[in-house]
Amino acid sequence: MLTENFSRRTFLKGSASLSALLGLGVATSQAPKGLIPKAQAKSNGKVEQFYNACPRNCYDTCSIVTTVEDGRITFITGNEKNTYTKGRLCVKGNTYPRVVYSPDRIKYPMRQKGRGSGNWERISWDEAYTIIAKKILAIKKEYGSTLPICLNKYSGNFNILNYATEGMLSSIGYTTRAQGTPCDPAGSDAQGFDMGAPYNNDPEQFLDADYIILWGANPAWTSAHSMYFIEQAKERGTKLVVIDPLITQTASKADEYIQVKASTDGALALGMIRYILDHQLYDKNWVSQNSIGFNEFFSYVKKNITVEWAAEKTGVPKPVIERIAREYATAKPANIWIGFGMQRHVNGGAMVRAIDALAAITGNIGKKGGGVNYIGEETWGFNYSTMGFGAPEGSGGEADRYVNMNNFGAQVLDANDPPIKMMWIACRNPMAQDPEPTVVKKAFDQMDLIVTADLYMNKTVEYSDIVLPVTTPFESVGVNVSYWHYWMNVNEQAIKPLYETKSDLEIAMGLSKKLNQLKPGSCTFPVTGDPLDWVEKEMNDDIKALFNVKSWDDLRKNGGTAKANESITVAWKDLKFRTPSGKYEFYSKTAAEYGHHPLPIFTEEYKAPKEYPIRCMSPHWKFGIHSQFQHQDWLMAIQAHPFLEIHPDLAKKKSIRDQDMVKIINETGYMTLPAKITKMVPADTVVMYEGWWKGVNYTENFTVKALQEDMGEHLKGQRGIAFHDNFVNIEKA
Amino acid sequence: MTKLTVIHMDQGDRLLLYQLFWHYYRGDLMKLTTIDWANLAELLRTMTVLCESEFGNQAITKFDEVSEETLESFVFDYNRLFVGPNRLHASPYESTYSNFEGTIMQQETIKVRNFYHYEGLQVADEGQYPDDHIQYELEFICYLLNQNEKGPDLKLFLENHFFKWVDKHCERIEEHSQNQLTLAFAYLLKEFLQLEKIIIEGGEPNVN
Ligand code: SF4
Repeated sequence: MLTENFSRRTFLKGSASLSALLGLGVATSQAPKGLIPKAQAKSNGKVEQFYNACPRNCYDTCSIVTTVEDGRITFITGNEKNTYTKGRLCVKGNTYPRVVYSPDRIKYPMRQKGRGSGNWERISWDEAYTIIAKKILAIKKEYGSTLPICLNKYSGNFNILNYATEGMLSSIGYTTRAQGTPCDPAGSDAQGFDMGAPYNNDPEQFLDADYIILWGANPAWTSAHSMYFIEQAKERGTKLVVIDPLITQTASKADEYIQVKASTDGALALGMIRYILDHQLYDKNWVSQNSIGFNEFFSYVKKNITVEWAAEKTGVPKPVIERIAREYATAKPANIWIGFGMQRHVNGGAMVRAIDALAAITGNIGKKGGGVNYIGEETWGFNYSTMGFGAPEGSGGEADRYVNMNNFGAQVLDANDPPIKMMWIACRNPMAQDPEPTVVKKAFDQMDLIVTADLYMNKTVEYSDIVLPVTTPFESVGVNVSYWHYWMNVNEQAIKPLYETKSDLEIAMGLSKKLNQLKPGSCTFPVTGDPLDWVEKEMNDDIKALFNVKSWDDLRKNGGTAKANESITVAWKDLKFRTPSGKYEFYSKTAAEYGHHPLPIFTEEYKAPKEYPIRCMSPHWKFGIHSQFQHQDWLMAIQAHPFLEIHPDLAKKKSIRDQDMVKIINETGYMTLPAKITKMVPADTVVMYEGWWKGVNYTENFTVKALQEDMGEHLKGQRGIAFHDNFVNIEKA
Repeated sequence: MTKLTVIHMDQGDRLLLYQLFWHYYRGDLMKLTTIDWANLAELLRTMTVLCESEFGNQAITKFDEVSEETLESFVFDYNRLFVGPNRLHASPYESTYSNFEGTIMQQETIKVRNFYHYEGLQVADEGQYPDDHIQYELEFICYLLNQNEKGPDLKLFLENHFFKWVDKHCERIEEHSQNQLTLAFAYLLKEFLQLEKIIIEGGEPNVN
């Protein structure tokens, strides 16, 4: 160390006496090394470019071109070689340099003295690993298995190498896992029953559509790149219809906006189906050749559904239903995009099945530019080699135990045999995102140790014992694909990881090393490995053939992005469905096995309790993805505080004026926030945008009960949460 | 701020103080005992000019009176201010004050890096830790101060960098400190900065 050297050389009394006086423990300091003689070959002004991938839980999964000067990011932009990203990022993505270089990032492993106290001390990685490993081994000894250790990880970073965290937990033995998804479970199950899997057409095919219905989707905010194709299509004469209870920004761009009462979309679809059947506008060939159960469905509709009834139910006038039905049925091809929000109801799965049926009877499934598009996973066939090491010998228990991610707090508290004692949280912020946060907190209280790996302080880190600092996409290696478009994007390491940050993969290797030091054989996860080798190991022959690439490195050298070949970009092109019958199943025995009606019938919506007559919806905010991005100061500068959108009529009834503080309350909880009076929401509904936690001591989930959606177990293991069946009352505070 | 006309601070004292701050910002002083702090107070008292200044004196008194409670919460407050994991109340990086957007690793950081390079130095883990963390700047100042012939370079560095932001840094500590030691260091640093400005710039001190 430079200063030590010179202070040794020096005769200056001051510095010497200081060291003597204070017995400075320089050797034991956690400080990084100081200044050293400059390396000879340093050349300043070196400019390089790297490919990165936005790994967030976003439809668009952009390919990013990152400019690095002198080892630091100076510019990022979308990759022009990716025809979906089209050389642009969204507002959120454009804040990435800020995400990397904000002084407020978590920089070092730290331990909190007193959960929630805010009293943090720095620890080294070695200390962190030691504390965690010792706890794991102690739990295993006490309970005879590692089942008291619970992993809660989800969508904060979809880099394929981040599955190392799951792999690491599997490598210590059988553990408890937060299972399921808060995103899409009911709708995915519905498509699973109808077609065997959710599978969407390439969104670039909006250009090939003759008619587009965005059904409860708001891509102007949540999928900016899809919006480009939709607007282009519109310019070429394609009609754009938006069906939504809220007048979203996407609605404002539509040719026709249809305001539907929330949670009655199934009735609307069935009303349209009735009209189409009555007027012989359905595709007889398609249904006879490619489906089973059409006749049963047909008679169900004839017997139970009328357009008048649908109009009454949905609040959409009969002539509008008829016209839209006719237009949709006669346009070839017609494209439906079902948003995730639409199925966050107790009848969400049933509604998606009804909309699927609408697309099926009109023969729009399996057509380029058509489809009933929801989500897809055709491009995700990697090796997941980080997950394959298995439990070590002598692990107690027989298999992992699952708790529902969507009712996490309650199920953690219920798990008794053995109880859950330690939690590992990665890529997730359950304290801000889960329903009934007070119950989640209770579950946290029961833990001996909570470890959270994250980029920034958040509600969950606040309540953890140890926080591990993680890398941004720009500081680690990876590969990303989308659940919507058909591109694969490489993620190169563009800069050195700042401070002491590590990727989830490095953390997995580091912890395994420590476990094996303390108790040889206690963890099967490899203790070393080059991330570049790891990422290369993800590529198998199928993936390489699908994307026509030789290797990850080859793709890195050649544009950083590749599109899957056309064999899969039209969903169900071969009309070979993955159902038991191989056909589209209007009548699904699998659905019946899961306790549902086999047909896509109408299912009633959740009824508002008398004391809480107002629906509170929590759609996505334009400057955030769940609890990410919104807290960035660039985005806070645009809008710094959450607010409650209230229709003028409702506001008048409650004597609430714009900017008044409003208390929103139900049996689960309450909070107080400013009102924004707007006609964009219906008069029986208020809106509080999702994922807002920074600077306030509540989240939109304070009033959300763990009320289940109707589906989810089949494909996702667990049902989802009916986030939008959240009924409240409001009053002026 | 204290009104001074004659500055009695030799190079040894100045180096000692810079080194003291350097150790402080490296996190070397987290484990000192009340006796160590009292010893430090005694040492600082030998610097008349400090003792006679308002904030210098306050700082020294605080070192003298450090309680066990203060020691207990010292590290937590230090981390709240300079380390994390929460939003930093008093960022220790120059560019977060001088850069328009308040981020690290900006052009302003590179200017500091270039200064080190010019003197044949670099941060050991360049690119991993921002070059303008106060700890490196202090180490660099010590390096220059220790060599008489580097006087002009030192003046340039202090005037273009250290003096430009450390006042603001101290203000933020004063605003957010919840601990007598972090506050004492802010007082001491702020006072010392004034004295340094007088020495380096040869001008009148700020008077209030
Ligand atoms: S958030 Fe979505 S749209 Fe924005 S850059 Fe990331 S992937 Fe692209």
